[in-house]
Amino acid sequence: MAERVLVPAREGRSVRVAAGQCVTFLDVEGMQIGDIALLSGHDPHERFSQSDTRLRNGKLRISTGDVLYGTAGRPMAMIVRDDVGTHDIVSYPCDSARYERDFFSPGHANCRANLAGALLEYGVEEWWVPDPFNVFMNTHFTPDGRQIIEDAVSKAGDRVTLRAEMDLIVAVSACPQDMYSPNGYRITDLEMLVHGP
Amino acid sequence: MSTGKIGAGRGALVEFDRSEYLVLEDRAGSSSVLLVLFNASDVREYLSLSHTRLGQGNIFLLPASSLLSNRRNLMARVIEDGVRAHDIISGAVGEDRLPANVISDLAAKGIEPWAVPECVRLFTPVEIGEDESLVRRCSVSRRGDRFVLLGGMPCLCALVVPEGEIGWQTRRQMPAKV
Repeated sequence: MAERVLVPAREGRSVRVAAGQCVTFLDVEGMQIGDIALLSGHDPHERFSQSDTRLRNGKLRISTGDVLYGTAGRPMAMIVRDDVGTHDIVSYPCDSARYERDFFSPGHANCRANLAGALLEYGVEEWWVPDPFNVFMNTHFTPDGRQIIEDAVSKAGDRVTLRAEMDLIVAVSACPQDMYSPNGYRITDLEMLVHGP
Repeated sequence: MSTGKIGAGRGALVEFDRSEYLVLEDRAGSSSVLLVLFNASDVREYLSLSHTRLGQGNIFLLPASSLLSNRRNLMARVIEDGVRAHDIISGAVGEDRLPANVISDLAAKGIEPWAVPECVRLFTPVEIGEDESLVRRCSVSRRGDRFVLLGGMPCLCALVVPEGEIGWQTRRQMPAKV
């Protein structure tokens, strides 16, 4: 029996996922980025690490078969289904400074606050919310290092599924970035589904 | 002014202030250095390479790069760079063990090992392939090459030298080169 968690547009939610279980992220209407934070279910100081994931997979773009690593260098989850293939493991979650300084919108909803709110019950403080696995975020790079963020290409119903390699706390924010176009200027819901392998 | 040197496998915690320089010099050639920064006044603020990269729109350290914090404040600026080949993309948190003296020095400042962020890997370039693969290269620095930061806030700087030997100094003014 799958556990379904609705992640309303612009908000964050969290769920526990046991080792061996899967968690699927569903883009309900398309073009909606989700910022995913993974933390150890036993010690949330052990968090998803973008840099360990880049280094240990040897690349800047991950997809099916690649592993998400944590700050202790241990596997946290493996991608077992990926309908899209364009995700981001380089960028921080949008935060209050981003909206205040770049988009002149103080008080705008942001992924860092959404993740911190969703993780509050586990004792996580905002300053150590990890840089996330930004699912459906269409980031790519040129050989000279330029980072280019383009519009998401995910369609309604597209999914990414992770298999937990350890007991996890999983939080996701339905990215509220509507000040430029990576979400298509339209913020919509995500769903999390926790299920068996 | 304070000075010191760090040999292979060793590390140090160095403090430098706003408007103060941190000068690193490769004393052996082919050295490599791991560097992380914390706000000395509030260690919950630390060097964020994701903010640094997105802030400049590039995943390589550039001449005059601004090193930004997780609160997007300017922590330090690159002032002089004799190598221009560094890595701000693959410095994995779980990869390098900190030397015991660095762990104890950080603990004395209220920083636990789990809170140490992704590091800058100085003098060791990384290449991005057409397929967005990552390839690390060995140190390309030569003996005498320097890397200089100017503090934008009071900083605690953890330095670890996996290979080679570096000298460091903090100073208020840089001496004339000629």
